[in-house]
Amino acid sequence: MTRMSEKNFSVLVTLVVLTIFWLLLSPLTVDIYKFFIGELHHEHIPHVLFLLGSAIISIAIVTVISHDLMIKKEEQMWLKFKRLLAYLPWELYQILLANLDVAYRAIHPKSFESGRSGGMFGVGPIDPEIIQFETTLRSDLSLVTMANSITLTPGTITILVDPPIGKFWVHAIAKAPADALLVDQSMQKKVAHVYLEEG
Amino acid sequence: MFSLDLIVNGVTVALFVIGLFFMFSGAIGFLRFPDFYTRLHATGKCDTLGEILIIVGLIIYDGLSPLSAKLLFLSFFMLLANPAGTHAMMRAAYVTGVRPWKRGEARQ
Repeated sequence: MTRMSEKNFSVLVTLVVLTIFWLLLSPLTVDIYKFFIGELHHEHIPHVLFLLGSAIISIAIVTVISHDLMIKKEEQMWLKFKRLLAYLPWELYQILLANLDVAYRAIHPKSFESGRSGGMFGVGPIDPEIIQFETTLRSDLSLVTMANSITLTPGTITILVDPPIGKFWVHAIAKAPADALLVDQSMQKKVAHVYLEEG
Repeated sequence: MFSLDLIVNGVTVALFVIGLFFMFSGAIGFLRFPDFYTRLHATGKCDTLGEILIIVGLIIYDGLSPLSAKLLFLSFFMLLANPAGTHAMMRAAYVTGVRPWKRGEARQ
């Protein structure tokens, strides 16, 4: 694995991913399993073999055409992958919070036009603004993770990204979610930790 | 005693109801929020969790099967595609100069 070239690595990953994907989606998987343990009725064998052969040929063609689009070999990839898996539960929890947040703002009884007078929860539920901030992130993968995370977490959606300086334009639905990105910055730190890009 | 079927059906129905609640609040937000950007907040976020909860309910109903694996893939792609689509619309509106709503203005 350590001596494998970049091209061989991406070809291998593409082959494995495509094969698993085909096996999961194909209704023939059960028949193929029966064929290998010798329980398939002999009338069906030519048919299954033909489809298995065409599957192998199509997987090979797709691999040759598109292996360079799959994940490239990176520095310390295994460590990044493990950290990404550790990051996902927090992200799923944030998705739940985001939905409760939007649901609360949507069914809040106060009307939005009436300005800033009281209401049941003091200040009314929405006060949109567009904010900008710079991060230490530079690589494609970390910027995509960050942009997707911003859109999935409470009250914020990514508008634009400027990769060379790691700058984000973000639409926030109220002041609290904007401050979570501008002041607290816990998400930037988590994503930078995952991709080893801490400034 | 509670049978296994009853528990599975109960969990499925509970997940469906929670998912439908989120889809419903997303639709309300879509109608009530004042401008393009805030309306995208409602549809972009609530639909993600609502759909995923409904799919998880279907996975529990079906048990371990090829269909469950396909549904799991579906929810994974939704998790990737939904924020990307929301961002694309947001960006298109921002680049073409749709003006964001500020507090105290009338609805658009």
